[in-house]
Amino acid sequence: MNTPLVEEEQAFEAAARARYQEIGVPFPDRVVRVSSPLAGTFAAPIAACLATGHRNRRVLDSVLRAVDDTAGERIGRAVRDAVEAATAGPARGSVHGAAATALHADLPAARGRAKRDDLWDTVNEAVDADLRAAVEAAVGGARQDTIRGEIRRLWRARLPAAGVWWWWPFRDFVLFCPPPSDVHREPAGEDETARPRLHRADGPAVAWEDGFGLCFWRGTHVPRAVVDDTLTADEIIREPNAEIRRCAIERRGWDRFVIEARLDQIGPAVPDPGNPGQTLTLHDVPPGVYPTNVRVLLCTNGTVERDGTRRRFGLTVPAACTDPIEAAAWTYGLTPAQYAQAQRRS
Amino acid sequence: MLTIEQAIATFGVTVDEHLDRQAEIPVLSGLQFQGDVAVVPVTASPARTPIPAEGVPVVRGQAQANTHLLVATGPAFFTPDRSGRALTLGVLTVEEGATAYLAHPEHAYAGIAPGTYELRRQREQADQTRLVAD
Repeated sequence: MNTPLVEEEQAFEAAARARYQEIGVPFPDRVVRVSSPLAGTFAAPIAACLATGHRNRRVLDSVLRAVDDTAGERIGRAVRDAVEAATAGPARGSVHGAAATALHADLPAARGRAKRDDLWDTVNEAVDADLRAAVEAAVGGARQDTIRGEIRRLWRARLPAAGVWWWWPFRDFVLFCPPPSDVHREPAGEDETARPRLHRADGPAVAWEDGFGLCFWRGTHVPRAVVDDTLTADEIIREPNAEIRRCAIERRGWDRFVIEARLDQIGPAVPDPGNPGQTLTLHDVPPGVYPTNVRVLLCTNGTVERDGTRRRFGLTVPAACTDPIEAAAWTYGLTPAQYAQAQRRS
Repeated sequence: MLTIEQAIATFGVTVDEHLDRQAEIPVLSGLQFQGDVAVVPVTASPARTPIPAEGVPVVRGQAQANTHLLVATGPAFFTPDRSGRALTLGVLTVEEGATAYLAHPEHAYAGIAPGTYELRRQREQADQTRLVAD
């Protein structure tokens, strides 16, 4: 935990010191870097409860076990390390217990508005959502005691003046977490001026060193299972959030989803004009599955892939389309008669 | 007719290694598709802007990987569409004796015979209709 302060960390600490000064509280000696916002979310309240004399080890251990069980043992270890660093060692004078009061309530009022950045706003919102879910998963059960209540109360704090740093300021210690080092973006469109959006298909788009990460599919914050592509078709259909459902279907690919979800085929398969040996099929999409009322046209690429197969893919078309040729023609703004004349697809 | 190998040598757009370099590129005057781009024969006033030697990227793929580049041997013209119609990329005119090609790293080459054509994008139905990027 004694990593030498880099420039950004020094800037963060200066900003943090200024905040303490504004409210007339001495800056604590114990400044502890945590490995992720999730580790800080659990470590800060636990350390605060320890420092204030809430030393019921049985309760504390049950919380740590709940973290192990729900967030994973890697996070659990990171939480234990941070708690140790924030509370171990000689207490600072006689105030060490009683004064370890959280400063959150005072600090937000003393701060100005952070510099606006849409991408980081998105990261922030996603972190908040995932932390809230993690806290609820770990300590959201019916049994509430002090530390559980504290965790639910104290899990979130951030110092806006220093960018995307998470921090948990107390009288006796400060926990902080730097911004994520691993951030995956993609262009939001073909327009070179389009703002990039968060996206990664093979893992979290935003990741911290202890494994905590945020998953994004083309700019939409999604559960890990969407990116890992592990949901069943039924689970996708039952997902209450329409945008997440749409992302899960895109991730799966309509070609697979149509089969797995047993979407009804409209009429027979027809040969794809200009694409010898390949067919087009049109499928119904029941209401509530996709955010828009659509049908799906399954097509096959005109060019073979490296492995000798041809890529199958689905395109959403208006629900009014009644046969595959009409649907395929619509995608290019052609009449069905025009589309039927196609000579080649490459 | 050019083979893919000859087209790569002529226009400098390489294509995926597994695609047969000796395959001849059909040169067509009818409707054809290269992935998400359609070449639609039309009766329209011909395009007048010469296609430059370096070609015209009619669709720019993300990170340049999937650009559909319009190139030609002989006099050929392309006027980008400025009407704001979402699907229309522009009008292509290939003069007698010339051949135009759409070049793409994954779809290789599509040969276009003399005539006038509209180049179009493919779309999907979404909240708002969106263009397909292949």
